[in-house]
Amino acid sequence: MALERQTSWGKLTAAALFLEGVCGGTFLVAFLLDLLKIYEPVVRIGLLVGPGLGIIAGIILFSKLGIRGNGWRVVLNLSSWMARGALSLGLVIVFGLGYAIPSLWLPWNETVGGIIVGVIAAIGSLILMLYGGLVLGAAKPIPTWNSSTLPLLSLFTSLLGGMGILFLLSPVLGTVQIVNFLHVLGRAGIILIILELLALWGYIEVGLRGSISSANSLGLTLKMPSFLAGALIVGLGLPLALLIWGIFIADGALVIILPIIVGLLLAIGGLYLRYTVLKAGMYIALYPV
Amino acid sequence: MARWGMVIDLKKCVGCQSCTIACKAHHFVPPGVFWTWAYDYDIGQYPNVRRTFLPMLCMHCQKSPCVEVCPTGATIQREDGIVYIDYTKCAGCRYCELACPYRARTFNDKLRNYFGDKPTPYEEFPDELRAPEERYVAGSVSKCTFCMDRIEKGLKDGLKPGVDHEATPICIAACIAEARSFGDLDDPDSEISRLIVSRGGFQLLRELGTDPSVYYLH
Repeated sequence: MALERQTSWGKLTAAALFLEGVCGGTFLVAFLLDLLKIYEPVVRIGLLVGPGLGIIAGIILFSKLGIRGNGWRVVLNLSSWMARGALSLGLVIVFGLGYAIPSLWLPWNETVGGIIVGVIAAIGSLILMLYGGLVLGAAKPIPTWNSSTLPLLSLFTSLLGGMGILFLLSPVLGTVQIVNFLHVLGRAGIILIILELLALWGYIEVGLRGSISSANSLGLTLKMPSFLAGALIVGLGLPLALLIWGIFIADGALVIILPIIVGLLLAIGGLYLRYTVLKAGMYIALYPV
Repeated sequence: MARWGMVIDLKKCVGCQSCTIACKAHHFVPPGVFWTWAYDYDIGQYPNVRRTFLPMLCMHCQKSPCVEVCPTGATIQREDGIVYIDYTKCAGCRYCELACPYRARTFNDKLRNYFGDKPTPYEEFPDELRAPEERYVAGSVSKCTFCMDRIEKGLKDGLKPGVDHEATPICIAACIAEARSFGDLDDPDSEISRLIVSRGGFQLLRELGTDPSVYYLH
């Protein structure tokens, strides 16, 4: 048939891309908070959880390979975004843990050496956050993946996912600190959600006006429950509403559990968005449709 | 150095799929995998409707996206333009499958038999007798190789690919309508170069900048 959806990458790849992005987002946000010396209990755990999620992503990607014995070769051709992503993942895991683990017992994060290690991991994190869009963008025959907004979407989703993970870890802070944590990170979260909604709108608008396969692909996206319910409502709409309510309106005990709820919703939404983008990817038509 | 290419005359193709079967038979291609095939589709509106066939295969692009995206360097482009897969390096990530605009690659999750669970004697053909580029394994992708083995053997025997059938890809030899031609794109006097110039040969999805070595004629 003229219009074919891609079937090479599915749920597991979506999960791995999501985890890679959230690995980068969690580590980067935790690293920045660590440099500011705030919310230390959450930051200590976050610096470990970030690379930990990266290890899980690596295991999933490795298990997806058809010939695992050649898996080590995946970093050899650096003109490939997959090789660059694998290298960046390695950087975040090795240097991220190299920053986080010694900092548990020593003031390693206050030394020049420690900060350099952390910065290397942070650079790897930044690449990982963009990677989800860049690796798909190299697949030229799938027009919706070539959108320049996809790396941006990947960046925002990863940052929000990282924040979501830190929100999920927030119970280690005291009650007062949780509220303060929600207010500080939550404000950044509101801005990021709005930016992501704008990027998503741009992605859809440009795609709908593109080629036949692009328009069909996005038409399909807009009908998929994983997009409407999963990515839009659960992943962005509800967290936005809850954050606005929690920061500007609410007052009371309910605010303490809000970070956990928002964190969960952000994580679920991010995963569904990755899945939808992969599933709805449609090849350019080879003959007239 | 020659740059091998193919020209397919869409006016002559009758969609018999002889090329598909010949390729499968020659390269021991497993069930569900096609290295060449012909799409058939209708164009026009009633009552002016026409059935058209579009033979497809790996285009052996000069700016191959599959070579660029392959993280292990398993996809290699030779000097003569032929793109092939080194199965000792392929990790089976399927990135090349996504990057190919022509859907030329197929992932072999497992190597199936044509008739039931046990392979026929034909399917048990020893690996040592297969050409290296045919030794795809389960978990890798496979695709058209422009019958590299036939070209290389033919050149060694002093034959001319595109002229002598024994040195020419099997799909060309099998085509009952003589819709396919093969030769050196860098030789302006070759049959395919003259066909491209005289008949206005075009490349599929030229706008993607892949510069395929397969041209089509209206």
